[in-house]
Amino acid sequence: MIKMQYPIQISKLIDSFMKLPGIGEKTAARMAFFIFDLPEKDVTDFANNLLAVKKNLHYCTICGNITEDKVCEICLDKTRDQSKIMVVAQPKEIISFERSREYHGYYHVLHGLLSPLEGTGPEDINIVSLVKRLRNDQVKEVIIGTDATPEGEATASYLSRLIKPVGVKVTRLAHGLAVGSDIEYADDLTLMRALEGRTEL
Amino acid sequence: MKLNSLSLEHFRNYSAVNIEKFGNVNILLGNNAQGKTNFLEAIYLLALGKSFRTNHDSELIQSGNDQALIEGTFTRDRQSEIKLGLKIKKHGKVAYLNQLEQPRMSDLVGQINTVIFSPEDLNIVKGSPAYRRHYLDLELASLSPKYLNELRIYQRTLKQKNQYLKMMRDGKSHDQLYLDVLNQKLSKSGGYIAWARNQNIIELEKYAKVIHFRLTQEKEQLQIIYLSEIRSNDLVSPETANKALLANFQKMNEREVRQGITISGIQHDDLSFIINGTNVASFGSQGQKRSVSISLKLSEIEIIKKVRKETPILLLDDIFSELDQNRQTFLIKSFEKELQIFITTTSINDLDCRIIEPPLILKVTDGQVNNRSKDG
Repeated sequence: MIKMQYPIQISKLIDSFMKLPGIGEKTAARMAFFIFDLPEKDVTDFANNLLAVKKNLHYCTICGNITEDKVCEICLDKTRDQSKIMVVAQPKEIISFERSREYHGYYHVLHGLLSPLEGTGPEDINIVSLVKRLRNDQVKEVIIGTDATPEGEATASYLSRLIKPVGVKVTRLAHGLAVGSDIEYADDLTLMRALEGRTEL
Repeated sequence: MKLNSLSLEHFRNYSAVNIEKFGNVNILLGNNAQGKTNFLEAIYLLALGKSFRTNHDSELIQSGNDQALIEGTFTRDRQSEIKLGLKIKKHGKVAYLNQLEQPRMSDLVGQINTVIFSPEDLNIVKGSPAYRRHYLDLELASLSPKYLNELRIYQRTLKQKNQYLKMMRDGKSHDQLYLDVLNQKLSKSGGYIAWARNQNIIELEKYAKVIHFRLTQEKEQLQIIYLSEIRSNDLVSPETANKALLANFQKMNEREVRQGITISGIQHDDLSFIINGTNVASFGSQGQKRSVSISLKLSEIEIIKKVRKETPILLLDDIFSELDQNRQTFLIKSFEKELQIFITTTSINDLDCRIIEPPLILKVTDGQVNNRSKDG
């Protein structure tokens, strides 16, 4: 029996697609054959875009955000509130906060959460440069915006215990009911957290 | 709480079964390996979202099919009917409540309550400490979402800590502050868990003591003792348990770092059953162990009635063949009239039919269920 195999180019492309999050072999194969059928211009653009992301972008030397320059736009913007730094796990979370247009302070990206199971200890995330930034007396408050997972919570506690002795206020984002949602449809855990974090009117 | 109708599709050995009406007492009659326990398992799955027999969803799907479907309608004690559904795929399950897909499996859990009696219950007394912890956790988790959440946090954080201790031992990282944070998280969840376990055991003992005394014709005094490294006077509140646990972690810190593994904690907790001053697990007879497990299960019904204000559905998986006449009679008599019961058995003669009201007999043969009372 003759075993059917992908042409080498296709199977290499499948391997590449499989490096992406959430992509298994079957989806990768579908994508690879789809690429073969695309007009050449689209494929060239695609390839160039991939390279551009890697070649032209890097981390901001101050906050760890993604930028084309040495320092990102947000860090360069001196009209922002100098007294606040919001700590997030990933650059994409900055976009979420920026979209809300309500936060005007600066950011700091950890590039991960403390999780020894994934090989990430305190030395492996972007903490040292955060502590350095706090030497600037203008910073009065660090807002910790990590996920409400066990790892997000442990990272938040770690940072708070690290930062508080420096004399900077540390706050944590609130957890609870989603805006515009019905209490009737909230799950038990969300309700529990909302109750724990209730505020006085 | 009553099950009114049940339909199964490609579930275990059932291709398609639809039962429109159940009685208060339902007997699933059939030879071995015909699908009697599968039927109970389906009801259990609707109640808890997982099986009591397997952790592998793929085993629940009839071979040659992609998915299994379980649907049941239930009446709660205050008369509102709900329809629960569970679609089981090879890599996960989806819950439906009144035909609406639910975002989380946990939305299904707790809608209905069941208590299952099976020959494996003996392991609560005879089995490993891990089995008893699991029994306790399962019971508590079904009554309290907060308990389930704290348990998940504890288990996850414990894994992280053990991994970090390994990293420290191997010289890959050394940050006592992070270890302190992990200990603080573990103590907070662990303190709550230990407190809740202790409360539950006190409650369980209160009921089990009375039931066991009656079951043994007033001969045996049952005591249930919670074995934890947290002393009993620290178990009065989650906060005091938290403090005590944190102190233990701090005391053990050096040893834990040296050995690269967590030594302290609630992951070693256990239960001990005492009859007339003697430990049942070590010195009790087989019969005594069985009586204790029955007393515990009957207490579970009382606790569910009290906490959820709802009578559970009882699932009795082939237990009568293992009980002597006295215990059989006691068990059947202790089920109140309003309880709905599902019993699997190979022979109707095992059951003392004079005591229970006329049962609905469902004959189970090779994945088919026939209502025998209709046939005459």
